[in-house]
Amino acid sequence: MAEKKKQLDRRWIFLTIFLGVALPLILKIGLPISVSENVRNVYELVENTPPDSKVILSFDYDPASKPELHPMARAVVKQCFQKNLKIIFTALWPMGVQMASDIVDQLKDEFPNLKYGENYVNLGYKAGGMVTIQAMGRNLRAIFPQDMNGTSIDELPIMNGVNNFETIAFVISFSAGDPGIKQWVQVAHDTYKLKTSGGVTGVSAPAILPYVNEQKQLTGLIAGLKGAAEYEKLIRTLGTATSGMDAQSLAHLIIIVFILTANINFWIAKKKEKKK
Amino acid sequence: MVFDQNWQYYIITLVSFIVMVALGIFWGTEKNPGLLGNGNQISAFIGSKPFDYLFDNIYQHLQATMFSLLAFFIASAAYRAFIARTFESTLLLVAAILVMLGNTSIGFLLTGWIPDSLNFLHLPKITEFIMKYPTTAGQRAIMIGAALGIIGSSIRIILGIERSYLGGD
Amino acid sequence: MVHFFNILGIWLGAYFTLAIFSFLYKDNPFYKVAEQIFVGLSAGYWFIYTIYSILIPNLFNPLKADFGANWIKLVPAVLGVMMLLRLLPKGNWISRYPIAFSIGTTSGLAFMKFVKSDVIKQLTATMINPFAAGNWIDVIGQILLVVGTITGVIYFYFSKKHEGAFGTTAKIGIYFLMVSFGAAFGYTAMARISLLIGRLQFLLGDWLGIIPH
Repeated sequence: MAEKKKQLDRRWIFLTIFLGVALPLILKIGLPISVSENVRNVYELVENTPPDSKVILSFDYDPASKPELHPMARAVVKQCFQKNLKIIFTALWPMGVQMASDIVDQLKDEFPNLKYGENYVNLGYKAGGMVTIQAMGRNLRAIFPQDMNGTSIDELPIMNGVNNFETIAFVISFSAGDPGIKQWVQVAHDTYKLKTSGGVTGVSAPAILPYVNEQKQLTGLIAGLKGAAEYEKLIRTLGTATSGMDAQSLAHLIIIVFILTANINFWIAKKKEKKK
Repeated sequence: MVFDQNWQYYIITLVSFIVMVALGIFWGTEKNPGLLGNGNQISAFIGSKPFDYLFDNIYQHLQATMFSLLAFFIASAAYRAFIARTFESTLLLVAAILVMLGNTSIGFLLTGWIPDSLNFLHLPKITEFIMKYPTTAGQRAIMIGAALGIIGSSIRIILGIERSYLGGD
Repeated sequence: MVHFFNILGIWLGAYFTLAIFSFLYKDNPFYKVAEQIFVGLSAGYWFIYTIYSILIPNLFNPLKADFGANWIKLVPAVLGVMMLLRLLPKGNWISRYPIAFSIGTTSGLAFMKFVKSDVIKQLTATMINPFAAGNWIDVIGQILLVVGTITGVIYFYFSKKHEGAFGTTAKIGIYFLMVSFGAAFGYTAMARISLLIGRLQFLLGDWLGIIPH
């Protein structure tokens, strides 16, 4: 029996996972979500920043991580707009530029009064990672003389008085790897003392967690789709993360059942061997 | 010369490369004009620049789907390889299961009945505890170890002891 | 016409998504074609993106606008060309100069940043009084944090044989590493499932319209 189970065609596993994800998306169970401390800290950072403060949101991801990072980025951008914070979008990944534009486009209907150049600006992508952040801290105007459309930043009111990180309230990086949140911590926070926070993919979350510490290298952290769903709950918006959580939960449960089944089989087989 | 039996597929690679590059060079990308300008007529016809059209409708989907395949493989790997044979692997397994369970709504429901005084036994709380303390400790040890390694090799490079990156010995 | 191309775009997306998924059943020509298109488009995309997002805004435009003020940008440009000479069998040695330059600056930069952020700050964050925490759960947690970090670092010290008291300490370090690997697996599984959810939200929402998007 154990031998037979071991030979289980993995396509059955694939099919189970597929259905485990697809069915909850269609049926919508609406399971509850609990909010963790790290996510709440990010929320409070944004919430407690005075209106009209300028903040940097860095989009350091591409379409490959969109399902995880896009929902949290949208939730944070929305909260920033609600709080009347002025957003400077940047990107350490080339495709991050489109990701930021996409989110602003999605939110335009909700915030019809937003003006480009006054409430937000997209400075676009700059190659260099750590070196770029370092240069921004020294002289932001030199490293970003123009926005992504080629308009000089001197013509954009939001950029008035922004010469480096001194007039910036905080930076939040949505990060799928290198360069990303690690570089923001190492340079923006640890060198320039800029409050830094962010959202990361589930894969990189454990490696970034040590920065959430007494030294406040990171103020909170949003990790993966679960973190995004928690954030959506905090800003009272039902987005794609919340609607994905049912599927996420069921798929986790299926994987756990697979692990347990495999272990039970292993122990049964081992016991039988001992008896022999 | 012997052709690889998959040679037809390599032609497809080459053609898609050339098409992407040609579209980019001729009409540019969303924000940048190409050699032939912005191709406004084409954009008005298909809704976006041809380069962006391929990017949005083919490349993005291919990339995202490639990565999502891993969901299936990780499930199958969990079934095949995640066996508690030793104390260490049991620790790994228990941590993995608790973290996965805590990151679901089901974990929240399972232990939702626990009274406030025993709040720490609530599954999401257990996951938070595992992440905040033992996991952070392990990851911090790795972080410090890796940083010391980077610092060490930086010194070796700066002092010229390490020169293998130049291709010599 | 735009409407037609929008719909065609969604169908193209759905076709290629399904073509990749078909690999789960078994390897087949649909998958192979999609895979090769992915490789080709990817290479083409990065080629074009390097030109428009790096070379034009950072090199050509500044040089064209004000050569006198920006001539220094010719230095990285020349270094870049030297790097490309690696492709010629005889020009291989020339590429060593830009490589040496970039490895040198990177290691100088990384040295400073890693000492501060990944060693000193991490050690400072570990030098806490665990008993100062408000409740006994956090006290236990913080003790684990301190013990785990120290024993974990000891495990990575390979210059001394892991035996005796040192070996036992390293062994405790392994336990902490195992827990963190387990947690990392949990998070990785979560991330991969999220990507699949994203794909199915596209297929079921944008394509089939079964769920709202």
